[in-house]
Amino acid sequence: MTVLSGCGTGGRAVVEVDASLHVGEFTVIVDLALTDAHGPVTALVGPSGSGKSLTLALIAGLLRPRRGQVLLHGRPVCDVTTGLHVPTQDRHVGMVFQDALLLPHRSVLDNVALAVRTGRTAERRDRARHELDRVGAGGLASAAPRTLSGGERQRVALARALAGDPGLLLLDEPLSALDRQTRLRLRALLRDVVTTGSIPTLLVSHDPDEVRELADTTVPVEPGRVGGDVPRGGS
Amino acid sequence: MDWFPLLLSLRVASIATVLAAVLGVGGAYLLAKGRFWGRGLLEALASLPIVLPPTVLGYYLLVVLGTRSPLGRLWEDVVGSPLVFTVAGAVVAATISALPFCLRTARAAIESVDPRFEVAARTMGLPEWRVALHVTLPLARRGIIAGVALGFARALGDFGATVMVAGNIPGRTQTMPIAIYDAVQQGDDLRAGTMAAILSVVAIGVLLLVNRFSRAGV
Repeated sequence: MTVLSGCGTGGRAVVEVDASLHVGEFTVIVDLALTDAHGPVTALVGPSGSGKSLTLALIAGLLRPRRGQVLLHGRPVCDVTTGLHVPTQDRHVGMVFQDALLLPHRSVLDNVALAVRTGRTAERRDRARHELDRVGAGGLASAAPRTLSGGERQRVALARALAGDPGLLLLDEPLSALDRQTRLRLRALLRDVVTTGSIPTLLVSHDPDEVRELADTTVPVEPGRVGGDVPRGGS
Repeated sequence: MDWFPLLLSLRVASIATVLAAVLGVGGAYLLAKGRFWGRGLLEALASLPIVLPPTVLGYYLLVVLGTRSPLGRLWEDVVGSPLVFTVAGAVVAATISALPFCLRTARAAIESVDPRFEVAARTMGLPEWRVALHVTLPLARRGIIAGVALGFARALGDFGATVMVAGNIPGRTQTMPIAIYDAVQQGDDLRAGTMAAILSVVAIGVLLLVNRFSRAGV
């Protein structure tokens, strides 16, 4: 097995993955070693169906690899040889999906407050309001998710992902379902939020402009193969 | 008109529905989400009360809970009186009759919840029990309510299992379906008809409720 040094470019290790994943007939080999020297945002770039989203799911703990290991901030969260599998909720990752997936039976504020990990109810709600303000959705707190526009939903989904103080933000095509104007606005917001908060972020996107604008580093993805040598600042 | 059978039926069915709802929703969640040995057998057992003749079900309950069985003796030691031929026996019979309706409907509802919401909840840091409590069960609530309503109707109308386990003691264990049988035996058509009409109205009300909650939507 490849030994993951994870620090080939200097800096502290953020994500280290050396694993293979089998979903049905499809196999993905993931070989990633990202450090904070790669910049806050790393984009996985490649054709659809090549395993980018599966890689995010693997890092989040939503899928188990058949071989290999995953480390987050130097801490093993999955190791097939020892049987280690830290459940998703204990990995401290925040995730935004293409569909916002806001819980339809809860208000916007409740959706975000549910993701706050510590504090009493009032404190959680205060923190949720703060996160909503941060993404420009403060006025939507009491709204029901079904009444929101696509862009508003993604803002709330981002607030929800941030509310858990994630050590890593996973963005799975978060803007691809939006119209161009909204996409441009949210792109700027995303960049602002992750840079201000220095939150390591892995982005999956099909949009070259989006990758160019958001990513500090790109990871080339071929069908069934994610990563390899990761060029620092190489977008 | 003696209202005792109606009131007893409502009391027995209400308690049985609460028990069947707790056991049914819990069992439904386990069957929908769990992967364990004997799952298929558990599923078959839970559905058995639908296909078995109620008298057979009642017979089994008598065997399992009767005064000569270990469970029956344990009950008697703890409570001080036997379970059979009591209201408690009627509650057990009605619970078992109602259980598969709660369980099967709740299970279908739980399985129809979009799993992506559960995935999103896990990435929000929610452990499995909170995913169940805050996401899965609320999103399945319409089906769960429909199943519990069906269970209530079934519990209210149970005859065979109840008469086997609780007997037919007027003023003590005689529920409405048994009282209807009694009234017909005695040729009291007015009493039988009135009680049958009351049960029918309740059943139609429950079905209307079930249809309303079964319609799709959150």
